[in-house]
Amino acid sequence: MRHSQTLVVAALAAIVVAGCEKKTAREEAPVTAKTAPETVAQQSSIGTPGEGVVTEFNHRVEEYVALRKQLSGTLKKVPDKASPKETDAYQRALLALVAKARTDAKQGDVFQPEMQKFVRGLIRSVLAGPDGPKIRGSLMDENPMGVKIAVNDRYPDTIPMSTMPPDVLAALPKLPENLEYRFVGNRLILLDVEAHLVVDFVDNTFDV
Amino acid sequence: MIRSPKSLALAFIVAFGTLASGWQTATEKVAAIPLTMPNKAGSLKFGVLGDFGTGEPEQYQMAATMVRVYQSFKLELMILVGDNLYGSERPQDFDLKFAIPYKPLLDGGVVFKASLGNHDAREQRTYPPFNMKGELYYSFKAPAQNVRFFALESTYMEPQQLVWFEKELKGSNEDWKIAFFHHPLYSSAGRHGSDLQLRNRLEPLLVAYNVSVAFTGHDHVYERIKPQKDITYFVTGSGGKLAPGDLDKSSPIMAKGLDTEQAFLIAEIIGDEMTFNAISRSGKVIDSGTITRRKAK
Repeated sequence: MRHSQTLVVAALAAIVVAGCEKKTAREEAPVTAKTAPETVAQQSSIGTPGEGVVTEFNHRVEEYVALRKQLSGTLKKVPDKASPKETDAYQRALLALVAKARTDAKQGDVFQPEMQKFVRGLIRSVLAGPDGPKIRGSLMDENPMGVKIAVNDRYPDTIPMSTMPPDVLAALPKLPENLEYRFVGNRLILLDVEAHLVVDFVDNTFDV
Repeated sequence: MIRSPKSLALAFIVAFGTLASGWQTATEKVAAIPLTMPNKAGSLKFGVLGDFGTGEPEQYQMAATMVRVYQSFKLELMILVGDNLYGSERPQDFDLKFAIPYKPLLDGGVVFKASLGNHDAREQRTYPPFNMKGELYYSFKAPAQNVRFFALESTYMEPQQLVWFEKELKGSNEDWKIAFFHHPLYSSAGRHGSDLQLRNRLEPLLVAYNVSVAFTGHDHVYERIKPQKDITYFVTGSGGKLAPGDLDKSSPIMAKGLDTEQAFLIAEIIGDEMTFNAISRSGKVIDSGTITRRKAK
């Protein structure tokens, strides 16, 4: 068991290190987020996932990303200096394509039951730590409560995004570009920020 | 561009404000806004605006005041500390809540540089007038003086952003390092107040790498914080929104605050000094001062 856990940590480290190879080009051209390196140290050790749980989650995330990439490739590319109208049209088209391709998607497809259990335990342990009250303060700041959200829904346009506490983000598995974790009440959602699409969610991650 | 009676009416507010300002200058019958800025050639002149994109008359009135200020103080840069568009973000909202009210400034060549708040959708990073070039966080060298700005995304402070920020700070040779982001590390407002989680993560970096000033928003007030660990923090979250009576007037960290009227801030850097004026929607200078930059010890 201990050996398996070590392998999971090593796999996480490999994923993180793989993202570290981009070089920073300084000066005159704006320095951007894409140049950011990552370190294993930034990955919190709060919570210990069961054997293969995070690996399976990452695999399912990768499957979603592959599907999305394939579908977005069928759309007309948005120009670099796109107008809001062009961007909006692209995003709505992408959402429609992804939702159609995932018609049978249901809650728990990406966050498998064991991963849901891990996420709940992890968030509860973060909130129970010495900085728990501060973290809860951040987490509840303009956290939209009582909003009904389902898999494949478009994230409501008029609802603000919850602020994700840094300690919670550090503890959760890193996501690829354009996917984010957000809270809607005590539901942790996996959000495709480009398509505005709710990919999956975990309910009851903390007590309100 | 103007599609509705409402946007037409709001555009009138800006246009009228601009015309009135020109008329004032021409006739000198009405006092101009009495700024206390050096207004010297070769300086870096910039503005700070936050929590503004409501599309409501107050935002347009604030914008008209900004245009009046611009008549005499030619700022070249406007940094945005987030909540750039409230509510819906349909294509026409980008006009109603940004392009129309600030058109005179955009036409004048003022470069806006945005950071995102919790009300801002991610696609704002590709909106050309926000000059984010598709990035959620970025840094850039100012067009004048020896200054580097760091725009952060404080609603999603993931580990790699912190690593990136530290690397950028470490690699910056500029005299002035100025950070801007949405959530205040220090605030005397009751609605949100200081974000202690974020402070835990960001403050050590700001202190260690000689950041002199940080501009934030989120709380819908204006506040200048007494220097904390030698860093001056501003909350400029009333560019359109306002939370009347939200400031704790007895707060020990508050140097100056305003929660009865919208406000924005202008600043000017010359060498080691930054002079600032905070200006209310009605055109009064409600706070002013000079900050000396931090130096490596």
